Amino acid sequence: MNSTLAGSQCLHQRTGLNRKLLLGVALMGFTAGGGISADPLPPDATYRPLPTLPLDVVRRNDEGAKPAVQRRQQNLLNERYDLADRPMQGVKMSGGRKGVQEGVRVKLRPGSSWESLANMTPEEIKEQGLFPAGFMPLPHVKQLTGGQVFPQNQIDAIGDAEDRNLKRFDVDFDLPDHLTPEFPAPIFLSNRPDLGDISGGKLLTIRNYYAMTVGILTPVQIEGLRLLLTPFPQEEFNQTEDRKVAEQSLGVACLDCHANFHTNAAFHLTPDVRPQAARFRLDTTSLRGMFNQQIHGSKRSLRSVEDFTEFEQRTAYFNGDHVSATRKGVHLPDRPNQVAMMAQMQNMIDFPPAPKLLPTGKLDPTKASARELAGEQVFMGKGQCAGCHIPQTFFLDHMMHDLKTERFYKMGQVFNDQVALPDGPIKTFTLRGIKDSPPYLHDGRLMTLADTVEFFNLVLGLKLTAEEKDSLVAYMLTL
Amino acid sequence: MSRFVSTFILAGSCALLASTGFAQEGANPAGMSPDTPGKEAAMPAPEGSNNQDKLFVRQAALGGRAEVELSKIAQKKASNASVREFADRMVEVHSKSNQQLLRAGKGLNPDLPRDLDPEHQRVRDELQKASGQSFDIAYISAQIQDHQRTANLLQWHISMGQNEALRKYSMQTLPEVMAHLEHAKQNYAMLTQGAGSAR
Ligand code: HEC
Ligand code: HEC
Repeated sequence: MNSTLAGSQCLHQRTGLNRKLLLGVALMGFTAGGGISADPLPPDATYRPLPTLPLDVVRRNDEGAKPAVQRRQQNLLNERYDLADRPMQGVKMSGGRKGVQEGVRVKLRPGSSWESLANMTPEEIKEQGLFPAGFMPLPHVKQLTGGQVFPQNQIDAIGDAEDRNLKRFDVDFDLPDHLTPEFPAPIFLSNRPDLGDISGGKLLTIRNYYAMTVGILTPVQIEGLRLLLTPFPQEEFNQTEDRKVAEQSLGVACLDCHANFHTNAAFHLTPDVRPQAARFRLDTTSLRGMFNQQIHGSKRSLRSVEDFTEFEQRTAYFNGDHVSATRKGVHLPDRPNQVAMMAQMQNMIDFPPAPKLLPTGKLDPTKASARELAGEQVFMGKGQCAGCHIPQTFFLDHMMHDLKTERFYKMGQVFNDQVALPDGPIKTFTLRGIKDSPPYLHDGRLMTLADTVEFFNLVLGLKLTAEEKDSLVAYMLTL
Repeated sequence: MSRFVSTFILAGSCALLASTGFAQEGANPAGMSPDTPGKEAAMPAPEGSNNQDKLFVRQAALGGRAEVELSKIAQKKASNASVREFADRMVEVHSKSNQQLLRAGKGLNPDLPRDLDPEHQRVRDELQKASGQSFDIAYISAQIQDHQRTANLLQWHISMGQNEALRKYSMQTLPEVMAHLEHAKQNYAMLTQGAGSAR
């Protein structure tokens, strides 16, 4: 904006002459300019402003504010969720090293129960403010700054292996470890299904990938892997003063979020929305099974792994901002060579085995339990789940759907600087290997599979019984 | 910023303002101005403000004033009962909201013009000429655009503003403005028998 205008008001009041002059200029503008429109929003509603303070001051301020930032987010999480560590008996994630959390963790508003909500209309729930806050969009820990935030396990592992610092000075990861995926996640290859998990319980890094994969992958795949593990400068991790890491940083690698080609629950903000307060949080998606997926990104609907790969680097990993990315040193991978190799590598990553599933995607009745089979019935029938999560096509329909959750709450409320807005159409996620990738939904607003069942029960108006809900969870654990 | 800004006759006083006593609500803003007042690191004084705050008060006040003035015309001229009701509500709510805004932004010298901005002057002229059903549609269309603009302005200010009292104002006002927008879209769909606008 023109700051001198606001600041020089007193001066203007005394200078009538000046005013007439400006009036003349304005009228010229009026006739020459044709149509008049009101002032547009200022550029910082879309573009990232350049920093105005030196890095050491920014850092001091950010570090000083950090305890309050983290506390505020913890309060929000505690208000919305039961974050306790309550793993299910006898169920582990696919690597066999981490439990799967049980039960509904989204908290009800006082004066409501899941049954009472299921019997109300969306309008009634909205009017009475009874939509559980945990079903609403989940803010970034520091929404107004945003950017990528890594969990401590990734920060530690990369610090040890590569001496590269992924810790930000302004914000830390917010969810407790037991509500995130197994780390490091197992790796299953579609070109070598005979092997099973090839990770050996280790995290793939730029220091160890060769020894871990030579003899298993092709030269093209290994080169793709190298690129996926190579750090490049990004929005918060770079060498300029506009960064959120203490020392000049080499940057971030693709697999810093998609750790072992799965997800470590690192989060970011969507690139697709402005202004900043309106952007929604993005929980890192798993890269398993991408060979079967035809649209990529929860909103962008990119049509190939190649496009996604090329673009993700081009615009500073999720800022939708090629302008800022260019300033920090952008990596433009060569499409026919580098991009293709990175994509080929990603397309070799399979889901974990699902021994109870037949090739059709249906449960094998000789292997599945009665409860799991009952869950499948609900999934196909009363629950309507299979309408979008089609078992035969990897529980995908290659479509985006608008679940219209805003029918249940007042839009425009602000939580921790994030404006609660409709999500609009979002891609259907696969349910293969779903027990391995909490938290759920595009922004990670749901902590357990039981939460997702309550969510869809309400949003789709299903009126499932307690038994049907339990069996659906049991069914999803088999996928 | 618009080239018309400077032509307006300036209102308001040159007094510097006294601080309001809002507690620092949350975290520090994404970007602070170099001259941000505040004694401790990371704790900008709640009454501190940045350029975005100033610009916001001006734009929001302009929009709010247009809202009231155009809705007063609709109170007299609208033929549809639901549109008249909407206009009543706009006059009531936005008059109050404008006062809250000026109170929260007191001392930011928002450089307010006395008349409507040229775009809203044009809308006013159009509305004065229109009548019957076409008046209702013209009024509601203008309301949709204005509420879209205001919702975006508020969201931008929540993103970029610094002054605590003003940010609180924006956060409190936004859900209401978005509800008005929905209501205006429903009215439009009703008047035009198009389903397209209402969610
Ligand atoms: C900051 C963490 C982060 C980094 C770094 C990152 N990604 Fe992602 N990735 C995500 C998130 C979050 C999504 C979901 C995006 C969305 O929903 O729009 C995603 C989605 C994807 C998808 C689409 C998956 C799907 O199911 O739609 C592909 C492919 C992908 N990433 C590849 C890459 C590649 C290649 C790189 C390196 C160039 C990379 N990612 C770096 C977090 C990250
Ligand atoms: C109208 C299509 C549709 C139907 C019907 C549907 N889903 Fe989904 N499902 C989606 C979409 C779209 C998403 C992603 C939503 C988001 O992230 O905001 C999703 C996400 C999920 C997720 C989280 C996936 C992840 O990786 O985070 C689970 C679990 C899930 N659905 C289970 C179910 C169950 C169980 C049912 C039936 C009770 C069901 N869905 C019915 C479209 C549908």
